[in-house]
Amino acid sequence: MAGFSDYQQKKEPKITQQRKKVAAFLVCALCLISIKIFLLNRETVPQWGFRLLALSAYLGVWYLLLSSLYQGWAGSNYADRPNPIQRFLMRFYHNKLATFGLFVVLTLAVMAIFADDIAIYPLEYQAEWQEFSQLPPCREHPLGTVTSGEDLFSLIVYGSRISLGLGVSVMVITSLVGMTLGATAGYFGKGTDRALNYLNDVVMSFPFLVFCIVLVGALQVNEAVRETFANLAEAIGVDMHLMIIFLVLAMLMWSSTFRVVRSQVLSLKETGFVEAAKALGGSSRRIIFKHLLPNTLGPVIVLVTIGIGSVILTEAALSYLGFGAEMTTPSWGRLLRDANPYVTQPCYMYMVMFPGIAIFMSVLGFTTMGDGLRDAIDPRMKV
Amino acid sequence: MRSYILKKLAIAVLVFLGVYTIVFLLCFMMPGDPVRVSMGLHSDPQAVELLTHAWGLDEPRYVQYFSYLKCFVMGDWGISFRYEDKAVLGIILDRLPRTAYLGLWGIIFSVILSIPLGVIAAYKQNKPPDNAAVLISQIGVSLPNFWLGLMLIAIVAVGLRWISPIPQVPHSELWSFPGFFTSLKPYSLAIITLGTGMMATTTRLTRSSMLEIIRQDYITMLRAKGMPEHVVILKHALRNALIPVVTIVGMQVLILIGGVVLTETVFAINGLGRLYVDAITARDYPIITALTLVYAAAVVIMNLIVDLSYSLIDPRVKLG
Repeated sequence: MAGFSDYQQKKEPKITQQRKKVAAFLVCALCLISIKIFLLNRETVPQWGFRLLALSAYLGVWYLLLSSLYQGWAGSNYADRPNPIQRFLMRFYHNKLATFGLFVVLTLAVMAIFADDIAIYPLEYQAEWQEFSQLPPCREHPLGTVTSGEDLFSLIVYGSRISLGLGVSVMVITSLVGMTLGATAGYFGKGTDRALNYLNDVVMSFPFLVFCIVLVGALQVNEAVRETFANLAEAIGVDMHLMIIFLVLAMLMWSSTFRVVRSQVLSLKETGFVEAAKALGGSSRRIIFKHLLPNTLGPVIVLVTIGIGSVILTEAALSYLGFGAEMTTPSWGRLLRDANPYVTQPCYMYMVMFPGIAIFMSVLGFTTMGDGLRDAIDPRMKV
Repeated sequence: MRSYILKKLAIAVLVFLGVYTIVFLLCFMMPGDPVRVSMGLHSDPQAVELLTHAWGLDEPRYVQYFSYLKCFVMGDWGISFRYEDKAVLGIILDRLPRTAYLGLWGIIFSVILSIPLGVIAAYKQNKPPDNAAVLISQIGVSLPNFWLGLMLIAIVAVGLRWISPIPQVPHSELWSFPGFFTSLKPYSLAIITLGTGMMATTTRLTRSSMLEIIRQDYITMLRAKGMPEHVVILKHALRNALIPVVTIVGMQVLILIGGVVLTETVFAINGLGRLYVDAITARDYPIITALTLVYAAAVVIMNLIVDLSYSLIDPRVKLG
């Protein structure tokens, strides 16, 4: 009979399955470590094309490993009864613009993490580059060179580290500050609420960009403070001016998170579960952190994503005006500032075009992903 | 109603004072002595002392704080450190026409484009016009303002040579009768640069607002009554959808100030934005303080107008 042989098939004993899994995991780990040490190295593999191939292989192995781990954890009844995470992912992937945004963000993250391998030329400036100044796009320099002779493509790749790093760090700090302040203002009300609202109004009454410029100047109060900043920046390993921009933006950008969390907490305060928690003797701190704040995470995640985009734009604007990163940092805004004198000469237009495209695409990726997150988490969310 | 306005005004005055205090503190926190910045590093110590006394910078800080506040409220906004012997009020009024022209046309440009786009996008939701409008608004929000200006100069002004890169129109011509419209062409690139961001946000807002309104019962009722579609959409739905849009346009006007700074820098227009940035570089405290206070006053007045108009337009909103 046709299907009789199916019943004859033996299932593998469980221990062999486990051993196979462990062996596969060890092979993956070995692949990853060996690729990372031997192939993703500028000294051993000087050719850029081979390094890119090795990087794709590296990322491919990571993707296989992580997706098989996820399959093992989530189980495979995807289509029958999707859990909330799977439903969220289905809604997100249905939105093509949001998927594109996610792709752009992931590319930016890869560019930032593996900048040393993706960039064709290293970051340290070598004096013999000066003779290659202002070359148009050619075989050795895919996007051309700038005035100082550095390769534009490598500068843009290293600049992604600054943009992404600054964006993520500023938004993490401001979202934490905004959530705490917003929850405090919403929950305790009266005096605290009025004081925090007053502070918010004062901060919002300044024109944002100009206030950033003033603060960048004001933070370097005197020599002692500058020394402290310089030492701190060197200890962390970042440029001092970027650290100052980080502090300035962290001080100014908590407004939107504050307002959203405050309004959410105000509306959640009167609900049943908060009343029950109070009746059971829950302390204010417990109610805020365990009950109220987790319910505000949806809009906050959307604001964080869109906020990273605006941090990138603000940093580029500040560097363009001259109040941001200085000459040696490969910030995209600083690249545009250097290209400013050459706008009226069409032969040098590549110097203006490519850093701007980099800024535009990364901000576009973050804003579309943020919009897609908002629609996927809750289509009726008002953020 | 009256007590509401009075309460809001009281808070507004407090905010104004808070802004003034912060600006005052920040000015003196910035490194660099304005006298030395203005006169050069190696200048005669006696002359430096005279100038410091003339500018009132040698008095104790709290004396400077209150005296400037008093003068500001009376209308004397001080004399600029950078432009010797010119009153701050005069300098600001001198540069105001260009910024105001740019700002006004930027708002007109964005509103004229965004509202029809938002209405069409909401009417044909999830079809190509909607997808295109959403994409355009995403792009408009993500484009760096100054980069758009640079690319417009490079392509239109230099490549195609349709317009000169820097608008050079004497400001007597800007606000005169035919000049108001003929100056549009030299300023068009700057207006597009300034208005694009605002257009994107307003399109998205109009679209979401219209989507909510179109689903309402009274719109179905109007259609059932047999009204032509364009009357339903344009006369009834749009009017109600514009209520939140009007309030947000008020806020956007204030966000425009940041865009004005960048646009004026890119196109080398002598307006208030560039004045602000140059004053910060030159440590010109009277101008910095005066411009910040003017902006804070504008924010406060705009918030008040928006609150009041919201209650006037929508009878369901109760103040207080």
